[in-house]
Amino acid sequence: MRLVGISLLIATLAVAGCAHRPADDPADPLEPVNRAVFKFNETADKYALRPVAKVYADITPAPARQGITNFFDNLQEPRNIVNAILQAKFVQAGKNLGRLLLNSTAGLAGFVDVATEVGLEKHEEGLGQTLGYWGVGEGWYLMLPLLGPSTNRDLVGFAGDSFVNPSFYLPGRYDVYSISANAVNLVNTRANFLAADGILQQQFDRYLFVRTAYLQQRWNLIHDGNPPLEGFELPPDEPIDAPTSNPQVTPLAPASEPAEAPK
Amino acid sequence: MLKRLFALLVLAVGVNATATAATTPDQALRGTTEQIQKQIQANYKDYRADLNKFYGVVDQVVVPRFDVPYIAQLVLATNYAAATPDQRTRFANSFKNMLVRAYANAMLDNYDSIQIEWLPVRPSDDGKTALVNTSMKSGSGKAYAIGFRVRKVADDWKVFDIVVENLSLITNFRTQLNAEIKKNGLENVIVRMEKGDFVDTATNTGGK
Repeated sequence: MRLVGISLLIATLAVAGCAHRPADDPADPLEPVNRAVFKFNETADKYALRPVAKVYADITPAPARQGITNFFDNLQEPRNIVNAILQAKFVQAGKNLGRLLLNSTAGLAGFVDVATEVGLEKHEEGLGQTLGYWGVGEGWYLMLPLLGPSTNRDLVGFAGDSFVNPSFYLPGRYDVYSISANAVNLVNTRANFLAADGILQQQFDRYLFVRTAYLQQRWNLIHDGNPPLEGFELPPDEPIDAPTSNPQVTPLAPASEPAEAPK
Repeated sequence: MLKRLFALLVLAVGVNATATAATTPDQALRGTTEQIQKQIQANYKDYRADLNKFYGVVDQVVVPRFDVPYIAQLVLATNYAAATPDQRTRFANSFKNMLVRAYANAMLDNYDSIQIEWLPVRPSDDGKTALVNTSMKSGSGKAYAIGFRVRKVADDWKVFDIVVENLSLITNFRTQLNAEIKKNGLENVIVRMEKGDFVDTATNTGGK
């Protein structure tokens, strides 16, 4: 385990020295492999995880599901605290500590998110974000079997963060209770994303959609919801304010008579 | 669901085509929401009966608020330079029409049930662009963070990107369409868009 961690770290530092890349043009040299894994994940989801999550969502009342979501979120609070400190966001770390204390007690071991009610809102920090905060680039985009999208940087973060998850220190962490808890967490998390399935199915290329969405989401988290207002990269020979070459906009042709399609 | 979101945001930027140049980005987007909502309110049954009529109104009222040529340029990215002027025009129009067609129904469904909260505008450092943040609440009560990237064009503010829950529409289309172009060529993609291929994908498989 430790050896894996160390080799991962070295691998990341080797490639993540390069800077951040825009989400529409990431480094994805493993794309053929990633696509195969993505296909495998989609199949596993279609025949195993999604059907279970659907049944679970049908039979579990929404407040109970929210409670379970809150419980597992609360277990991530130590990770949030440690990483806020690692990013020198001490006020934020204090708020997260407040969340942990309040939700673990008044929030009935985390099932009720009372902290949000008093203005201490959920704020996610992780080691992948911490590395990004200090300028470490994503490295390669990765699609992990069953775990889903990641990058070299976030994979290292994921491994490192497991050390601050309380369940890591439970004596019987491979016993039946622990494994059941993980299963509940997995199914519950999947159920929370059922509503997004329609969006995914609309896309021309689901692999690319997930990749772009994941990278944007991470970039946003690194910047605490306010990523820099970057312009889009355009070819240098096309200045962005070139009205002369701009196409003319014409009204939509009636839907019954689609525009002529030259062969 | 994305359709519904998009309907909300198209509603939010609807604008009276005759409006004079507004001074601030959110004013440009804001006062105009009512305009398209009023239009739908007054002619709801007509539009339901004749979607083409509604497309016409969207073209007249909503589309001018968007910088369509610039959007086409952003989406095509490196493929833009290689495209002929004719291809650029056809791409811009079919891309715009694809979105109008895909979301017209959802727009009619949601026009009276959304609540829009306008959040502080974030100007860019050079003052040429800005991000107008909103929180939109649908009929179901769930709030979505929706932002509009606008830029100054001839003393008016025009939308060039929409950011739904931190996901940029331009980035999304840019990635997927350019992969499609790489596989099948620009002409093929434009022809399919003109035929409405992608609209079907969006409308038929888009959940509810």
